[in-house]
Amino acid sequence: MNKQMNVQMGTAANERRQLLRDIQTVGFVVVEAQLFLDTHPDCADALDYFNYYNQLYMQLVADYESKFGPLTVNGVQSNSEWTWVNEPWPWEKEA
Amino acid sequence: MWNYDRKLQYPVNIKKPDARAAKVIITQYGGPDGELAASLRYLSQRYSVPYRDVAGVLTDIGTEELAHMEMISAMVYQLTKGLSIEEIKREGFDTYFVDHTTGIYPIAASGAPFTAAYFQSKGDIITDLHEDMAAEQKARTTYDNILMLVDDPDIIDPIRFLRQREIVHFQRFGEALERTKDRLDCKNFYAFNPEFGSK
Repeated sequence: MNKQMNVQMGTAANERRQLLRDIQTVGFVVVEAQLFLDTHPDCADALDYFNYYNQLYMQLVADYESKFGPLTVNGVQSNSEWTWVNEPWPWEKEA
Repeated sequence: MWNYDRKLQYPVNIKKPDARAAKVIITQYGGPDGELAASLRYLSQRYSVPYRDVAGVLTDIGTEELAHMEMISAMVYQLTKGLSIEEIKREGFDTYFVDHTTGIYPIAASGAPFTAAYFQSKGDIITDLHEDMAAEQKARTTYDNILMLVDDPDIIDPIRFLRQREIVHFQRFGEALERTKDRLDCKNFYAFNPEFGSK
C-alpha cells in the first residue's frame, strides 16, 4: 500500500468517525427531547426543537449510509453484497 | 419491537486494558442497580399502566437503558481485551476469567449473577414510579462510586455521561408521578392503586 492510499483511507476513516459523532450528538438531542415531550406534551417549543433535530438526524443517517454502509438494517442499499456485517460493530475499539 | 442501531449512544474508546476497573464497572451490567435491571424493570412495568404518556416514559427510558447496557458491556469488553494471564492474576480478574474467560456475562461486582429479584413490577403505577425514582438514584450513587475508583479519562468520560442520564431519568419519572397523581379521583386522596380495583 503506498503512502497516498494510506492518506486517503485515513481521511475516509476520519470522515466516517466525524459523521458518526454528529449522528450520536444529534441522536442524543432527539432522545432528550423525546423524553421531555413525554411529560411535557403541550410544550410547543420542545416540539419545534424535536422536529428540527429529528429531521437533521434523518439527513445525517442518510448521508452516512450512502457513504459508509447501513446503520440500521433498513439502510442496506446493496444488490450484490450483504453489507450489514461489513463495518465494525459499535463495541469494537476505533482504529 | 426494537430495531438495532449500529452505534453506541455515546462513544466508548478505552485504549488501556484495566481488569480491576472492569471488575467494578461490570456491576452496572448485571448488578443490583445496573442497566439490565433498569431496562427490565421499566419495560415490564409499562404494560398495565392506564396512562399512555406514563407508559411512554417507561418505554422510552427502558429503551435508553438497553443502550446503556450496551455501553457498559462495550466498556468491559475493551477493558479486558488483550490482557495477559499475568495481568489477569495480578489485578484479581482470575475469579471471573475461570468461569467466563473474557466473555461478557451479567454479574455484580461481588460476583453474584444477575437476578430478576433486583427489581419489582408491582402492578401499581404509583408504587412502581417510586421504585423507579429510587432506582435512578441508586444507579447514580453507583456511578459516583465508580468515579472514585477509576482515573483513566477514557473510562471517566462515558461513566460521567451515564451518571448524568440517571439524573435526567429521575426527573422524568418524578414528572410522570406528578402527572399520575394529577389524574387521581378526588375521592382517591390517599393514592390507592389506579391500575386495579379502584373504580
